[in-house]
Amino acid sequence: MSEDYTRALVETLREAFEREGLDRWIAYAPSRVPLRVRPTVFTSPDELDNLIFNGFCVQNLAGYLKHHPEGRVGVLVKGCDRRAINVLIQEKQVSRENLFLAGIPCPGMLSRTRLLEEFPGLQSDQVEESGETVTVRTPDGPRTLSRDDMLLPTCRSCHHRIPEDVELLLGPPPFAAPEAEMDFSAEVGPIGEMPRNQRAALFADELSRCILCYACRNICPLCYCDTCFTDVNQPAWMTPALEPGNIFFYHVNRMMHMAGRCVACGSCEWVCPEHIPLRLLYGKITADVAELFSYEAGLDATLPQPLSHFSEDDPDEHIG
Amino acid sequence: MERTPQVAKEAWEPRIVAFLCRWCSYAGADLAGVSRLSYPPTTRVILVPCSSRISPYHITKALMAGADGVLVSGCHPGDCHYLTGNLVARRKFIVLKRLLAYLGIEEARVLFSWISASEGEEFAELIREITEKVRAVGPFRGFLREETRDTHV
Amino acid sequence: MTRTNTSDSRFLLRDDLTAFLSALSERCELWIPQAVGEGVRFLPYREEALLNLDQTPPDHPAKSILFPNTETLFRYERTEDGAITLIPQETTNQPLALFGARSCDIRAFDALDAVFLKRSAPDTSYRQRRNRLVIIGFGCLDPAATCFCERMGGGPFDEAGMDIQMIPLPEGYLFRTLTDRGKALIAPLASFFKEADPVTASQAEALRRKGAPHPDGAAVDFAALKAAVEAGREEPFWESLAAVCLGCGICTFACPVCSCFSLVDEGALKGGRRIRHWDACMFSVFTREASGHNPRGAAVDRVKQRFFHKFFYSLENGEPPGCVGCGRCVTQCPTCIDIREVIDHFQPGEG
Repeated sequence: MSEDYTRALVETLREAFEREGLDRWIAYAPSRVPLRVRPTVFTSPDELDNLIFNGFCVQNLAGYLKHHPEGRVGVLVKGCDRRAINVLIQEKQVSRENLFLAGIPCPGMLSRTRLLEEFPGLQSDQVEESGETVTVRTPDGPRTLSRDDMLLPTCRSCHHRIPEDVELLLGPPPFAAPEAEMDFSAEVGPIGEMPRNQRAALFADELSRCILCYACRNICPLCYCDTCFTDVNQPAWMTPALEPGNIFFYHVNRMMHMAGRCVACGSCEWVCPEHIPLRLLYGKITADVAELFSYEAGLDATLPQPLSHFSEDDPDEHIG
Repeated sequence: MERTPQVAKEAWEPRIVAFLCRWCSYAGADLAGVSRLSYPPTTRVILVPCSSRISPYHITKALMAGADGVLVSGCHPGDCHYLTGNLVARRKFIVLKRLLAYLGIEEARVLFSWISASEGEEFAELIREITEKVRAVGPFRGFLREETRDTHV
Repeated sequence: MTRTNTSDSRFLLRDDLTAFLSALSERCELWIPQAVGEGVRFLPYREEALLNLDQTPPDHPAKSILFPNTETLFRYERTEDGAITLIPQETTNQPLALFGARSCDIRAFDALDAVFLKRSAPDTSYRQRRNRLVIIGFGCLDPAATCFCERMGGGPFDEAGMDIQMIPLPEGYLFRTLTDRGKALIAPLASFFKEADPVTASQAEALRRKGAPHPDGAAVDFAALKAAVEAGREEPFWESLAAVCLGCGICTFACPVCSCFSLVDEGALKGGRRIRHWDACMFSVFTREASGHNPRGAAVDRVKQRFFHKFFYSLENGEPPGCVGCGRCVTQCPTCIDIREVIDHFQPGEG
């Protein structure tokens, strides 16, 4: 069933590639790595035979626009890719007219970590997605799971699966999780209610595993500075020594950079080799920006961003 | 960043880094001085052009480098020499303040205030007040340290 | 290192492992693979640590026992009168025991030795730890789908570099003592062991000889690979990798062989220190010069460097190849840059 969908998808995109005279198309191709697909820059319509779409297409493709700025580019976008592109447009990193966007109603992406936890050694070809379920072929026979249970945490709380303002809105895949009921920031409230010491301990435990590999920064579709504050060394804000001060400094300042910009695509969280639940951090920033400035990132490319902007009536509870 | 060893608790006095805007708050501090008002010698003043010059880098770096508290002060809304710098800063600081509190940093460590050039008495009072606030939460032992998990409150 | 003539085998019951480790930790600085958060990494032994021998391979390589992510090389203090005193790092002669590392991680120590010990000036802090190191290796029963140690000249039961090889069996572990150093480490703990009965010994021997069957291609001919990589320096293949590379450091940090580092001086009024920390050829700032010029300014240059170092430069310098086939970079790369595909690309027909 999903093979038929992919075949139809390839033909639609190939037709658009040729008709629009695009220079390249950014989408996904299979890989030998278990439960992971490879983001791929296709440079000719023929190469699209290799294109796939399934529940492992977790990488946010908007990020690839920063590496491939020239020419007219087609991008296969899910809800979060589309919203990230809006932020890039707001920040004048890409021009809308150079993009041809094919929107795919996102079925919600699967958590590789959850699946591997449940089925150690699982390979991509053992997983069959259909409707609201995921079926895993095991040596003891197939096991069917609810897709919703196997989603990435950020996908479970996504309310923007259908990309808006696209040149081509594709039909929904024959597999999808039900509408999310939870909010991205749902877990933030209870943490905020915890006693301060417990919160401090929670984040000390989680963040102390950080190895400063900067994968969270590099995978972020919205991190595009030529020189990151982490790399400024004359003088240095922080040093690369793997110590709590540097780790905290990095995360707090990166979070501040994401305030009003983060589209909750969850890339930083799934990419983390240490499984640090970064949604708990970025969810906080997102919740505060929503509450204080009634703003949600990536919905409208024509609005000014909340932190490069102000209102005379802004809250001033923090001014002593 | 290595922190200098803490002195014995009895002798401890808070160290507060104060970023003051040159047009209002620094002049206010100056007025407090020339008016011979007394306030605790706990602040290390850093002159900046505008409160909006201060980014979360400066505040977190000050804490990382050994400050027990950080104050950022600028002109009252409407008085900014650059018209709206303090209003942009206000947005940035409320997000930072809430974030640091969420991560478990005591709220008393990061403080914001508006002080005009004529408010010498208010400046002196502010420093007395924040010195007591920071004193109450005790020395800052660094981010994510074991010791931060059960301090002083 | 002296090898004992015949390996001496003893058996440790599974239930006695915890007590054995606890006793061992009193005699040396002991590192074990432990579950931390959702991952497994090698860290110093603690009573409450969650030992994990099951995950192949652990998320982190064992290299940090010899080459820590961040290490203070020395400190200095400046007195009131301006005099500067250097304070070297403390050293110890206590044995440093690595428990439960698989053969891939241990073979990688050869490559680290080549960098830190065998070049013109041996690295003192690395040498100090290396000289203290005693290795209790772990025979690997369940290679992952992404493992390819056999292609790289190793194998799940390869004992090279180990002082003791531990073979997991249904009721416990067979400890094969391979060196005098290994013998000395566990001699005082003899009471934990019993003699291996002939059935157990033959089970272990069968496992060891069989290795683990692995479908993933034939052994790599490194000389041919080196020549092919060099001839293919300008191939568009590299561009296809660079097109999706994010430039993060996951692959190098996860690699048991990668050993690039940087030095940073942290100074303040009253003193400071010099630290060494892991760095990565995948970071663009790694090669950025003081002038601003960057000899590896483009992503493709950096991607190429990583694989050239592994399959060309290290061999050119007479050092071991830069890959032991642990597959960590394969599983952890967020965009599926797969070192096996690089090998297959340059050695077609063998994959």
